[in-house]
Amino acid sequence: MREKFKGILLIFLVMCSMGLTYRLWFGRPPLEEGTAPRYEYAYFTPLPPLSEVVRPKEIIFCGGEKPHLYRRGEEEYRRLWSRGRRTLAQVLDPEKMKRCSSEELEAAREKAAFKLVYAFDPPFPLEFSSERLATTGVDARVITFLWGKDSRAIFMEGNEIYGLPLPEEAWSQDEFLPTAVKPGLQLPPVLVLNVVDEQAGETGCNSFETAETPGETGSLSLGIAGNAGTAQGESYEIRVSGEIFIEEEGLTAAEIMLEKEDLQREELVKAFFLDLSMARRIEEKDGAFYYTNGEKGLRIYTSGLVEFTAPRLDSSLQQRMPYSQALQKGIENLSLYGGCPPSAYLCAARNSGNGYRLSWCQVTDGLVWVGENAGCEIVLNEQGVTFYRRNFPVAGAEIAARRPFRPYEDALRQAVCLYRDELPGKKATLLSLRPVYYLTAGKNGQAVPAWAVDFAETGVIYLHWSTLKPL
Amino acid sequence: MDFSRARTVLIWVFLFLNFFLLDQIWQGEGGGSYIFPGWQEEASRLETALQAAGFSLETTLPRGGTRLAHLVVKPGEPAVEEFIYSVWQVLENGREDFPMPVPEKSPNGEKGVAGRKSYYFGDYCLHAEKKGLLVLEANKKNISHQKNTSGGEMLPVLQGFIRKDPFLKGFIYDYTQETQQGTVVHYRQGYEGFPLYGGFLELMSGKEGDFVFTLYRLEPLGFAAQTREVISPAASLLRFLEVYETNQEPVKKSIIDLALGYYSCGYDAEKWEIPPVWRIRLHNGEVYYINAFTGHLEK
Repeated sequence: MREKFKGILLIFLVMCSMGLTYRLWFGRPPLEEGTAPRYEYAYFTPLPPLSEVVRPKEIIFCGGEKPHLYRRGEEEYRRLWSRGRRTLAQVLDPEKMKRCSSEELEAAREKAAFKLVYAFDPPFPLEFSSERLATTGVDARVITFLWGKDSRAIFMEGNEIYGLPLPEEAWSQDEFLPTAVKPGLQLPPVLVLNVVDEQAGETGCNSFETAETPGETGSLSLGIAGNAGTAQGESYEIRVSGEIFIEEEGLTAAEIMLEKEDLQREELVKAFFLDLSMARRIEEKDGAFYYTNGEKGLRIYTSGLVEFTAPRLDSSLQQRMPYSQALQKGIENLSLYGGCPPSAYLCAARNSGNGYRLSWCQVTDGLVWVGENAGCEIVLNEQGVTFYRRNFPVAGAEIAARRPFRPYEDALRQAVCLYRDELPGKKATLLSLRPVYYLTAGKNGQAVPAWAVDFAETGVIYLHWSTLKPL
Repeated sequence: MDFSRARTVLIWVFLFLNFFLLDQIWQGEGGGSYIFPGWQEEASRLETALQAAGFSLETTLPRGGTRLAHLVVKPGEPAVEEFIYSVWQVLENGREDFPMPVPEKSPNGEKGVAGRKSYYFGDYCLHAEKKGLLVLEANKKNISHQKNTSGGEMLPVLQGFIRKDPFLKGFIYDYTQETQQGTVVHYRQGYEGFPLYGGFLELMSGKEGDFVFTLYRLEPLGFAAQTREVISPAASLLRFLEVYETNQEPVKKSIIDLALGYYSCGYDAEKWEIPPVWRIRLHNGEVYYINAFTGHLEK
């Protein structure tokens, strides 16, 4: 009996020693192995297809007396772009694309009865529409569909111009004809503005009505009704840079209440930090939350503004990243860090030396939201995102009934009047003119419709859409 | 063959072996001072790195392998006028003629600095910064009884003051340091057995009796929920050497203290989380804090 017990005890001890040896040998994790990172690579919004990363700034259809202008966010714009990109994906072939001169393009334009122009800013990498074009490296600023009775072609303008005949089977004219009429007009190359001092109104500048007088050699003289012929005004010559299209009529808007974007804070922090246990939280006195792990910092303001910086990734030694790759990384990061709202569009992309700076803007009914910290900005390089700022408020109710925009001539004249001291020689260069929503700062933010007048000499001037007071 | 005797011998052998293995496992999990064979490689790597950087290690490596969480703190809110009164009582040996502190402006009419209020009383000046830092300065010409006070003589006075003032309760003596300007006595806070280096009290006594008293108090609110393993002390030293090498001249230096605690700089914030750090103190008085989670140098 005793021997049996000793035998069992011995077997037990042998098994224990085997177990303990195993535990000692394999059981202990390596010295510096911490908790396995639980990086939740979950996108806030699904990644859009590549062909949707860059969308046209505006679509212009010419096929009658007046051009038709469609802006981002409009239903007709979406339909025309959807049709356009499907056709591009179908027909673009590097072997069939032919390099063209600007004269050839001009000749084709004059010959065509119909013209559908997709204007891009930032440029559209053609490889996004078809993998066949991955090696061409063409970034198109303008894609033009031209067609007439017996010819159809696509022209792509970037650093060089490429042309491609449209095969009949890939073409249906009806799909490219606008279903909604939205007449616009193209500003002439030169505008002459008459500004009169005596009519100082509420804004400290002129109050006026509009009168257009076709000037000589394509210029447009904008006189002042009520005073025309009776008061001597100062004449300003405005040179229009590039092609600027404006809605001819029917442009109405109302002030909109803004609401804070409902972002899941914890989820957002998890997206930025590899391991949440390494990020420490600081609750600031103004109610903002700041998270940092010593290398990067994320600040979430009470207003909904989100700012992230990772200065250590900001190195000038990195390799140059291709433009298309920067766009892909940009949209991936936007989808990962808070998501891309349906109303957001990529509105700027430039190489800033330390990496690409990409900006997304929101659009409502064709009007871009502008203002301090409006939209989203990402700076990224090969190593990752070095800067991220996001402010995508949600549009609430309209504050009052919609009212029409003051005519663009009034806005131009008001801008000249306000900044006349900065326009030496009574000349100015108009870089852009567009209706926008201007986001006011403060707790109870509003989006105010405005004219954005961009003179090379003054920078962008925002004018209230109804009173033309500067914002 | 006597199988019974053989079984007995084997039982004893395996019993001994099992105890040995258990001890090894316990040591490996940080239960003792014995260096586990797995650390040997890191220890020799550290030794080589220390030699290459011209450092000698004059302290024993503490245990690692601990799981910790961030510590949540808020800044202490000193009642400045009460504090000034306590200071006056201690430094002026209970003089009753307590002068009302004059805020903002110096006797010469100098204006205060933004984010900081200055109070002038007697021969002292107290600067109270917005984020909670208090700096008390004494004019060397007017304080006769502070003349030639060494750190050792100052300590009982300071300890008495710390005991007396409720705002200074919980400060623990850390170390004394002799500098060219004079003697500096360092105090720190503590929480749940861990040093809290983020909250500190320093008394710098000049050779001519002048002194500067610097105080920053934190109110610990508790540990954050999520814990993780801290890096080993050897790893923290290796990280430190990486940072130190790039900035300093290669002269003979020694590490005199290495300890685990909590540290972050002060913020003008409502509350914040501070990380565990390995504090590395050098012979020349320099102090470095290596984040015990990330291995980054905390500034």
